[in-house]
Amino acid sequence: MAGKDDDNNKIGKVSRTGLTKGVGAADRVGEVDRVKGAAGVKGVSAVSGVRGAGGVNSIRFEQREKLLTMVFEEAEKLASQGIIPKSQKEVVAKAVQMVIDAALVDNNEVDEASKPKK
Amino acid sequence: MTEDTTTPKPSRLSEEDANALVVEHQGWAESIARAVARGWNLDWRLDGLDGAAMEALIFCSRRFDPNRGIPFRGYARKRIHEAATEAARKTKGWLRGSSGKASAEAKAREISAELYGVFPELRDGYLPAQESRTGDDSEYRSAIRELLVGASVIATKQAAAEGPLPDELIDYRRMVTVMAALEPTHQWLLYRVYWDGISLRNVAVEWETDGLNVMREHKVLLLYLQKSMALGKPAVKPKVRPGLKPLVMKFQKEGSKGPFSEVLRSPQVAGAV
Repeated sequence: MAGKDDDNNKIGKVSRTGLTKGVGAADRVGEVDRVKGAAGVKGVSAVSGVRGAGGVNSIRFEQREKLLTMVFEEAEKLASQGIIPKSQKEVVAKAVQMVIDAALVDNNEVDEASKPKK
Repeated sequence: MTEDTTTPKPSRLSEEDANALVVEHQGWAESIARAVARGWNLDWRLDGLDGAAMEALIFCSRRFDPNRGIPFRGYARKRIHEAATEAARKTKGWLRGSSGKASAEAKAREISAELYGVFPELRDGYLPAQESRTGDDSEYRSAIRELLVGASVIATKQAAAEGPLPDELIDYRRMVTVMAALEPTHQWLLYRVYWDGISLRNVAVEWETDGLNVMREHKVLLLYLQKSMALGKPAVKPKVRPGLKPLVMKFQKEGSKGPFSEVLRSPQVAGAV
């Protein structure tokens, strides 16, 4: 204990310190309360920045006419801009029309073929 | 005790189940053969495309591993389509036509068959994917432009191989000049794919790099070709992506300037125009 010098307003010598008491055992953790009423997810924003290298532009037989017309239109544009030579325009456009057409499987045909034959 | 780390053996269907798959998908396989015949103006039965498609279907049914989690049609479509196109290329009608319209059609067929090698996703019913997803027609148009430019490169190569006519030689020189302005690595990429007919995936294997590196670089190069041809001179050349840098070092060591730079020095091309 520290002695008190009232006249000089100073702390005198330290006689002894009290003993530190042992640390008591920690109490057990009680039960965690149940999570109450988490609000539902309101909405999911669009995923951004996913860039795959594989094809995702799926094409269907129903789009055939539209796609073949687009090929012709784009070939016209590219030829007029000089991107494809005018001498190649017809053959190149035809080639792309062929490659797209030959990739379009008509699912109606598939359904017809899988019907049991009478 | 040692743990068995070997790859599990692929499981195959029983013969009975495989036959059931064939019966179930026969109509679908025939539709693929019909699509190929329609696209190339052939007869799917007379030209033997039906037989080729069936053979491929049977082959796939025997090789199909249901434990891999891939649906059968997803697994088999490319192979059946490939078999039908290969059969089509062997038909008498394939190179039919010696002059005029018929000759142009035969040329177009040959170019389109080669396009499947550059854009194999078409066999699965997909156009080449675009970086920007707009979800409207512009995405289709952009993919179609990519196909048109690819077809134009193939047409140029074919014209060169057959001995170009004077007007074709001018176009050929323009295209080669634009390609010769590229880094040697880029020139080799275009050469291996369009001149040697090697798929992008196989170029990646050959160059010991990820397939995506080569596929994305190919897209960049097609855009460069579009820009340059529109300008009438080489546009700003694209940088080689980091994944392909080892190739840059390799070609530098070999002293390669690139195949198109070499072609440009040849007297036939240099003398044109």
